[in-house]
Amino acid sequence: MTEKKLNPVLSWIKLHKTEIGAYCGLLLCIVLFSIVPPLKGKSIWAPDKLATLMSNVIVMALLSVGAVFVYAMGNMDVSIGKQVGLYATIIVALGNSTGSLIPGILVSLVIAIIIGAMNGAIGELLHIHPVVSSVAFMMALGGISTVTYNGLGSRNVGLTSIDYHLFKSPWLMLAALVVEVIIITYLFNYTKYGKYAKSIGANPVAAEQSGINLVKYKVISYIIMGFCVVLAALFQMGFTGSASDSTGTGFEMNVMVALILGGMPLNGGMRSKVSCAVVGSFTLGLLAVGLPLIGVKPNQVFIIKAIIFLVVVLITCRKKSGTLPR
Amino acid sequence: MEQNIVFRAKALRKEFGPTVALKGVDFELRPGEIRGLVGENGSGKSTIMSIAAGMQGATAGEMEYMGELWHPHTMVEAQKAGISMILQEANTIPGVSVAQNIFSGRENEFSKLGLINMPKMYRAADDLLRSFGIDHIRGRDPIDIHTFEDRKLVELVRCVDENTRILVVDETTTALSHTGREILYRLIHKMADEGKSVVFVSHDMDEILEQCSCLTVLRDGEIIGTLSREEMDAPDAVQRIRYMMVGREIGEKYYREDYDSSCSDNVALELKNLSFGPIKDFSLELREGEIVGIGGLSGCGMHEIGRAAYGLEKLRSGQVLRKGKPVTSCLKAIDMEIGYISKNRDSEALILEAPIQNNIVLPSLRSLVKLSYISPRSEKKMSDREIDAFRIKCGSGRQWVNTLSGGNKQKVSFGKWTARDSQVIIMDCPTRGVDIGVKQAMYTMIEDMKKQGKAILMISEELSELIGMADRLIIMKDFEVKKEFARSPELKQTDIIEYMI
Amino acid sequence: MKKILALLLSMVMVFGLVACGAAPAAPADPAAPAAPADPAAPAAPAEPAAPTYEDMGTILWLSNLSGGAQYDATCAYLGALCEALGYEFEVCFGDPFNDAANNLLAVQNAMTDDVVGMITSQDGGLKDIMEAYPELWVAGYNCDMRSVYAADGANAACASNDHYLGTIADGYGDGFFLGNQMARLIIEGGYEKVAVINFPVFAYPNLTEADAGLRAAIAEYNATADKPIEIVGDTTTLMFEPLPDSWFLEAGRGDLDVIIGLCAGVQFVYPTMVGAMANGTCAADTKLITSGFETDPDIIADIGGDGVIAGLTVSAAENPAYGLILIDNAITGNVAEGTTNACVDSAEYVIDSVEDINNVMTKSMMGTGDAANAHLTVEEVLALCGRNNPSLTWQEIVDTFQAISVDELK
Repeated sequence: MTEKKLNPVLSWIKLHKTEIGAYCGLLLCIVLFSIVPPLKGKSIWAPDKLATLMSNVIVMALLSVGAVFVYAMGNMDVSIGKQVGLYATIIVALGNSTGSLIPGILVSLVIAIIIGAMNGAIGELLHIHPVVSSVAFMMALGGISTVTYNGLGSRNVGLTSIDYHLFKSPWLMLAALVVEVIIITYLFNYTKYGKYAKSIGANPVAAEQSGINLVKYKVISYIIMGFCVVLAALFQMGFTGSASDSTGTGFEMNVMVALILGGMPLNGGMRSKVSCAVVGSFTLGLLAVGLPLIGVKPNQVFIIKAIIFLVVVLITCRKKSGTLPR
Repeated sequence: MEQNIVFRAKALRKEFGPTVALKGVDFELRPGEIRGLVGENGSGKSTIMSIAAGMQGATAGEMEYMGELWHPHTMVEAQKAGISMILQEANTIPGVSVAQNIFSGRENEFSKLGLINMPKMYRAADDLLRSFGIDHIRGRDPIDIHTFEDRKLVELVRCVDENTRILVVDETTTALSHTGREILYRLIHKMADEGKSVVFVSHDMDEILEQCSCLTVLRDGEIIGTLSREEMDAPDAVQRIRYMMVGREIGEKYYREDYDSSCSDNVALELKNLSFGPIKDFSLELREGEIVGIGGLSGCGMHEIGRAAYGLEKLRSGQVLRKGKPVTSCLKAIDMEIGYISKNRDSEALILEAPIQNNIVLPSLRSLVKLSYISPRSEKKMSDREIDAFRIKCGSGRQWVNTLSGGNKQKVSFGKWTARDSQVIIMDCPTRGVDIGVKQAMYTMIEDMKKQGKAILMISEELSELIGMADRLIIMKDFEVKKEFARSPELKQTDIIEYMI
Repeated sequence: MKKILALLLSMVMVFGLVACGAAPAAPADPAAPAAPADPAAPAAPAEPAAPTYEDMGTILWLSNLSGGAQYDATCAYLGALCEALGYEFEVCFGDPFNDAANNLLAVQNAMTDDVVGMITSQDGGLKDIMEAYPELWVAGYNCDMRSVYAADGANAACASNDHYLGTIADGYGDGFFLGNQMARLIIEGGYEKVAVINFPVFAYPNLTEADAGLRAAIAEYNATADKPIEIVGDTTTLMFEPLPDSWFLEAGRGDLDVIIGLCAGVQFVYPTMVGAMANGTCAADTKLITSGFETDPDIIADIGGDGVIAGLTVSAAENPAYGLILIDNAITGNVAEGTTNACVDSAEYVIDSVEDINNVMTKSMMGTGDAANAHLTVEEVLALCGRNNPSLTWQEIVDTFQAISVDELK
């Protein structure tokens, strides 16, 4: 077969169309929300709106960046929402009884490591899809939460003695996000942990035959995400210094939407990137903050988000069309 | 229009975007012909007949069938008109019975008032199967209990009926067992005798030379030439055909030319009394600098031996030992400098959706780690070294493996283990689907590996390859060793085949 | 090509919705909004002699509902009232479970420079909201603000914040009195065999207080009654799941006179009752007394008379106006005499007859969603505001709200 000469620019675009689609979405939001709100006397670049943007973004972004490791393997973890709720509760409860946030954070880290290890190992050892074990955790943690709050006699717990206003600072949020992005990007792109995770996602059989211990590296990927979940829980708690029995509900869905919006392939593999998490989270955050500014009613925000999600997915997640004969 | 041309293609052209698969081809088929179609990957041999059989449409050009303009829209339409095609991939419907597969699309021949008379269908299926000489498949069997080969036979039965005038067999025989092939050969000769036509597309030169009445060679989307039966019988026929397929003189040397089977005395890999699955008590010693070939029909157990040697199989008893230490998992195998190239190239040996570089470097990643950091430059260096050594045709190491041709993909598989400097390499069907020019280069590489003192276990379904390359040739049948042959210039395929079947 | 089309389509859609959103509101002057929006300087001195109230700013409703009859009625009512008073009206959705962080985030996202007051139906996160927006005036609607009034409540700091103006509860602020009211309905109805169903205490502590109040009132009645009322068994707690069918199989429940649904009975008890009556495990004449308003015609038809639902309590749809009046008074500097930020009990419809429910559906704002049908029309509410009636006392305002009754519809 001979091939006609391909325009190099076109073929670059075709190869990277997922990323382009994701960045286009973000750019569209930025442009839209910079132009329209001033026409109505409002601005998205006002410091309080930027701070609100950071508040909207931070928890989802911290979770999504960590989730890149798990999604890169073609897996999903639906228990991270309930995990955030659990860790926030623990941090508050232990904060009230010990006067410091550190014990709560440490306990949460230990639990996160255990849950991560189990989610990572069970799928491989029992030959079931890892999502199943994360579903089990989600239900178990939900039950534990209900029982705990029932026992406490109240729907929420709040910090009584510790000052949590530090966590409200958008600068701290940004700094935490930047640090996490740097660390995760390093692990994902420059160490074997990330490379193995991507290989496992692309072709687990070939990965194993090339020397990757599937159980070990799946567990490590889940544990890395677990650390990020604890950090996210810390900031979730920091919004109001409290946790409730519904804290974290639905966060895993937000993470999935953010990642897909950011161009993360659902099957994982080599196209996974940390930037997907950041781009998607900021796009969703911009939508949450910007849509009210251009006059969209709260009823309609959800529909718009859904439409934009569909549009981006149509652009980016097309399946391979047709096959060539040999 | 001549009366005795049953099918004709005029200036047939097929483009897939920028890729031109057929460049305006003229093709004629006469009744009673068994026409072989050979060519490298990408030559267009499958494309011509797939257009004729209705699988896809041509970009330009026209076809005539039985003297009339022919423009099928679907394979079903083509089959009803008398052109049937069997493909290489699985084309049966899982989850239903053999009879339902055979008569799929024709259920209303067996139905009254919307209810299908299944016993009637089963009986019709049994009759049909028997008329083909197939006794071991019954109409009421669920298709899933049958092996891939038997399913191919069911496909065959489905495709061919009294109306069939042209049967296209596309690379199917690789899937068939010996019995299956015999059934197929009987069928095509019967059809030829009845004045029907068969087009036989295959990579297997021996088979084509044996069964076909004439042979057409394609290259790069064009017909290079057609050989008559006399030309096929000539002594230099293979040479000539290869030349036409590749387009240049590839020289005399193909397999190894020496008959020196010497090797070190050190045992590189020992398979000691392995028992697992259907295999019982298999033993083998592989020495450094030795090429041991294992051959047999598919299903004889040789592929499983390869997997076991790499630690992929759970052993009931026995051990795989490298320098005295047991190989219990493929991870350990890699640490012990064993490499494995699976016969399922696309699904097991390579990560298709990943750059060449990542694939090559993957088994060796641990050696590139410096305080947890893996520098992209060191990865590129390692991968570029292999790309150059194997002359892998690609734009850069960042290109994805699924954009490569079959031969280049196989080179990447090899590159993984040479980058790792593995000392024992187990290769399963190493040159399957690889173009002749690349094959030649690979045989040279394998010979070089032998000279470097590496131990090679070569499992292959191509007898000529094993005869040409191996120091020792082990033939398996029914999961046990039948005979071992030593390398010798007098060794012929005919000597070996009787032990295989 | 497809990519470009898709991008264009999404832009068109978003701009279309922007246009829809922009149409009713005239674009605000990009310069600073009008002076009265800034509560730091009480408006009166800056105004000319006859104040015309325009561009007062925006009133935000932090809602716990996103749809339904009550939501529609509230939006219509507050919309009409705000327009009459010179405010813009916006809704934002709080967290369905009153989670503090999500409430805060919802308010942050909806907050704009011209928001001057917030009417909130949720108390989660109020302390942080008021801390983030110290100029914001806050009043409650259908919320008992338990976390504010309790000494150790999460939002106790708000009680001493002068921008927290008070709240009107969804019925009784103290659940004990809800229980008393239920007991009265039992006694008036002549029921003798009663069961009580509740929600968990950690989610709805006021309902557990109601249970205590109910039992106390019944006990007091039984001390002197000829025919004592029997409460069968302990109070059943539903963990936000509908009542299980097997509940009726237990001793004494097959032939109850009435079930008191302190929980949201129509949603969690009624369907099971109907099913149980169909298969005989529940007596056909067992009644249900509960709270909450539904517009499902089948349920409406089953209220009063021979219907299964013998009594339905719903707090007045006019309640939001209370908070609005407090906020407007604070902004315009016309705070009524005697104003406190205590929790005020609200009036309730007690719907216990077919006539009542029909009146509600056809004549009330709750049932029709039309602000013109309100017990307190727009004009009447304006008359209660300090800007129009500076001599009105706070108690008089409260009394007006508490006088609302379903009987007025007749």
